[in-house]
Amino acid sequence: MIKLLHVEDDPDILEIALLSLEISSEFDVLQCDNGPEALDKAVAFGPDVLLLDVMMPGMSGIQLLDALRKFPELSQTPAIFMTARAQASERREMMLNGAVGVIVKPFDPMSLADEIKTILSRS
Amino acid sequence: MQMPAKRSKLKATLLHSTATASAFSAILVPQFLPGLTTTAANVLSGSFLACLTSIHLLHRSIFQSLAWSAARLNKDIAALHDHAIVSTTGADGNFDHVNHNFLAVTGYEMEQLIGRKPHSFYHPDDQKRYRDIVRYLDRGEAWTGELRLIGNDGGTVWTQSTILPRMNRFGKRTGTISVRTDITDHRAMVGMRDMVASLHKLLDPILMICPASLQVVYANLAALRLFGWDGTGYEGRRLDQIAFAGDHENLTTALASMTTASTEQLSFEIDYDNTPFRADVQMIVPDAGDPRLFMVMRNQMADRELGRAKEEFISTVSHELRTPLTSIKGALGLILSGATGAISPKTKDLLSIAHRNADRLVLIVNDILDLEKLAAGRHDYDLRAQDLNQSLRDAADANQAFADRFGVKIDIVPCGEPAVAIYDSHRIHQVLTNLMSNACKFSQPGGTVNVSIETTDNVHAISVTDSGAGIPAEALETIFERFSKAGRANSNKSGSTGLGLSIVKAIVESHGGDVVVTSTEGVGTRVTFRLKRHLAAATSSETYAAAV
Repeated sequence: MIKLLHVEDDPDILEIALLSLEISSEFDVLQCDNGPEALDKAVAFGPDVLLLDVMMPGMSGIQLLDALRKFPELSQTPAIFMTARAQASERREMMLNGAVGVIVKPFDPMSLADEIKTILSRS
Repeated sequence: MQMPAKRSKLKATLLHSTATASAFSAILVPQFLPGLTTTAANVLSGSFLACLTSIHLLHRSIFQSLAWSAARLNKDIAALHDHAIVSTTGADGNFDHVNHNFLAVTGYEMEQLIGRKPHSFYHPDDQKRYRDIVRYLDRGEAWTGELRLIGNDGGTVWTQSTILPRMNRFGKRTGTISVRTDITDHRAMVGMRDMVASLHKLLDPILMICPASLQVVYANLAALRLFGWDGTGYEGRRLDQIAFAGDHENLTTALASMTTASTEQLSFEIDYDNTPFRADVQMIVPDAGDPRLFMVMRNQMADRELGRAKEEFISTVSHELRTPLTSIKGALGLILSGATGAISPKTKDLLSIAHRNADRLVLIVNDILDLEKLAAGRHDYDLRAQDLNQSLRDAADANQAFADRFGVKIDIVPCGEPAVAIYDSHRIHQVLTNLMSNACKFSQPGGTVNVSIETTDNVHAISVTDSGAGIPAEALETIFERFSKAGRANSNKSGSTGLGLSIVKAIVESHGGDVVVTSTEGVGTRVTFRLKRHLAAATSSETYAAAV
């Protein structure tokens, strides 16, 4: 099982992503709807991959990743940004901020699991 | 001692008058005034003598004065002819005389003018003055003012003119006399002074530079303020001594080469004092005098901020629209896949409609955002020298599944040799996908979409041709407009956003290319886009950030 920490402020997208990932039965998913909650739970959960929304109120996905990287246990954990900000420059910026991949919204729920696995295998 | 001639003449006159007075006293007085004493007669004759002398002297003075005036008038007329532009008209209003200055200044021959109306040589903008002049002349008054004549070479001759009526003794106008002074040079100087005054007040900094030495020979107020110079201290400063940042070396090198390279205009991005400027440089070569470079510096700070604001807006709209679409599309996709349990066929049909339209909405959002980005000039291109043959094959592979849905085959006719151009492969893939998917949608089942490259000396022409119903001629005129569906019969069923060809045009034009659509109803449609041919070999590592 791949332990995946998913942080997303939109509850509908959280639910759809959870259903999508359950289809593959290969993911153990912990979901948080804000950055501070994710910071509280991340180390204890010990994720194999981080799936982070970018535009979240309070703490953005990029700020959250910076904060998570400060935990030695999470300093090398692959991070994937999920974003509706699809401009090439924005995607480049996310990669420069330490992501191994970017999934653009709206994503295909039937292939979300495969997309994450593909990114992980590339990284 | 010799007597002066004037006094001698006076003495002779007096002697002549004295003799006349003696005759008056001896003959006329006794005859007409017999009672008068000799003394009274002498007094009377003395008075008579004085009167005669005065009258004589007065006549002489008048005649001398007239002669002197006539001589002076002749001299004045000669001087007038020498220095002024003189013309006269007769009773018919036509030129009957022009002096040599008129001919010299206007460049006409005498026979081109005599018998013609003066106002037919007025500048078009001064034709309305003709009526004013006639009103003055009809009242017997002179008209004075600036009047432009059109010279024989078509040029404008500015004159300060005085036009006087010639009247007969009955007060009827029998012609005119016009005396003009050529003030063309004066007007040019005034024009130049006004222009310099305007330049001086313009908000954009302007420098005039000597191309040979790159020395600044003029700076307007905005430039003086920008560089912290006083009104005279800039002279002798060289452009390469100004602390520009950015493209500074290229700027001075290119400016120095403008005279030899016959380049008339250049533009640069430069920074000064942490402010970005676009410097537009124009070479001015006057008829007389040395060539000069005019450099107008436009502050780009506001443009950059506007661009950033627009980019932020696009990004925010993108996020705000895509986020709910993610939920809609995701939820529908999961239900339709059966992940949440079985659904009835009727429900599945209805959910499929909703899912299809959610997809369509995503496409429209993507297309609108693409167009906005292209319109804002935020291309974000990764430009490389690449082989178009490979891009065509990639696009055909990517679109074959879509073509299969319409029972259409995509047939590639590659160029026999590498067709190298500088382009962003992702964007040209988007162009090809738009054109191929359009061609598939509007082809009959079993049809073929042909994709070909033709290379000429300078360009690669990539054509996508379908064998569909074609596009009516009147619809072709608006085919690149947003949401134009070009009058195609099945456009509403095709899932088109009506933005595809607008995006194609915007992307191709932002690569320096062009797009042409030709169509024959009942035969099919061909869309051809052209990209500039790159003569060097394709490379995956060489980028061309400033190539387009």
